[in-house]
Amino acid sequence: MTSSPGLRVYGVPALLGVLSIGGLVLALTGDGIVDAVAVILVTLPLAAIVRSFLRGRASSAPVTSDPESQD
Amino acid sequence: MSPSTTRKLLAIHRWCGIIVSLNFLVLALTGLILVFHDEIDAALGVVPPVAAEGEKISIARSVEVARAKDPSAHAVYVFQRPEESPGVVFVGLSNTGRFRDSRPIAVALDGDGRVLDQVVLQDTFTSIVLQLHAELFAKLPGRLFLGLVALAVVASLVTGAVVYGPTMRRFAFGLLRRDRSRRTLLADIHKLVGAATFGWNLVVASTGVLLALSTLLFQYWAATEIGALGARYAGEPTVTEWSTLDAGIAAAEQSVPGRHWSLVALPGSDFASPRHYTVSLEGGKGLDAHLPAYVVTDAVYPDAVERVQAPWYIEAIALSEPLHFGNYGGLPLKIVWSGFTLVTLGLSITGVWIFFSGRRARRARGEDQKRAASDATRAAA
Repeated sequence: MTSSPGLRVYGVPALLGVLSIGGLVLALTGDGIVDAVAVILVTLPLAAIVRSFLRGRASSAPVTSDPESQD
Repeated sequence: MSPSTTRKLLAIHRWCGIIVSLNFLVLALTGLILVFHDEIDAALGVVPPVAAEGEKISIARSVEVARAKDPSAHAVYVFQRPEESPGVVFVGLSNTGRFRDSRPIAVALDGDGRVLDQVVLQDTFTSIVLQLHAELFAKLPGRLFLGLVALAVVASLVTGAVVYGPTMRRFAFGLLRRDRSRRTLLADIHKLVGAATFGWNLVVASTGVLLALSTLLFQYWAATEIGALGARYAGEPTVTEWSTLDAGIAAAEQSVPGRHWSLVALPGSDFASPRHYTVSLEGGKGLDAHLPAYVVTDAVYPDAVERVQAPWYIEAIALSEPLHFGNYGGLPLKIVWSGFTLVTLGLSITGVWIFFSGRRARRARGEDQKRAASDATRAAA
């Protein structure tokens, strides 16, 4: 199964964005278990960063042009 | 998206990021402290313990006690923080009658009432940090300048998100090319952190814009809707006898069950008509707990109360405060908030590093090309 390029590039960041904003709003609305769920949702982006640092993905990276690296 | 559009957006992203970077450093470091505002105040013992139980003086009497400190000043508000400082109220004295020129005088409600001279709320560590964070010690101009900074951060975030697509179309999320140059690795870290924290950053930056405008928006609301309530008493002198203050507060609390007063703007101040108390009430559950209710009470006939529905922009400001400072979901959320702040600092630092290393690399390439051209000319001659 193939996914659209937009979904492939923006899928994970968009999901993290929606979940973390959802967590921020959820923490405004409740206490106790709701707060705990909210904290978990808000933590997801940080967990994703830590996971990327822990995974050695360098070798699997394709070599291609990258505007950010060219200047 | 065409390459030229991508380049233009990238330029906006970079320049907005560079321009705000120093301010961003200050905002992030001070924000990191302010997340733990309550804990720091408690540890430093900002308000000394006062007997919270037993006989207490009235709120009206506390205003008199505070005014005795400076009889020439106007009393403009009274507020309480029952959880942090039980048994204490703060009376705002101002020589201009305006909130923003006021200084809060702490009055202990026990015994006959006494001014707590040692409590100077605006000089506490967290208050000084807040003044730096919110207005760069420059009051309204500083606040508005920081609003522009927050707006530039929003622009940098949005353009960054748009150019993320073209720059990452052949890579997976979370790619870190450790086997390439340091600049490439830092660019990968920048993109990973920027993409992962986009939601949090957008919320904090956009609420920062709103909070920067809060002083002006509150003044607008006071001048229009609250001012209109007292318009029919415009010709009458300002009420300066506050014996009805406690009855007015009680009537306001009765009109909105489940809430307690947090702040009262006194008649003649910039948030009350010459004839009314504007009472802010806190309490409730869920989202309501972050939205104060406002009741206007007649200072002559305190039983006459009128609930004022705050406009959307005032409610948006009320919700922006916790969403900006992160001090609302208990200690776990505060710790996560600090993590975001530190990671976002890294985002700014890597961005600046990439920008200047790119300029250095371009300059070096230009010099090499010039040298090669002059060598070729010399060889041809």
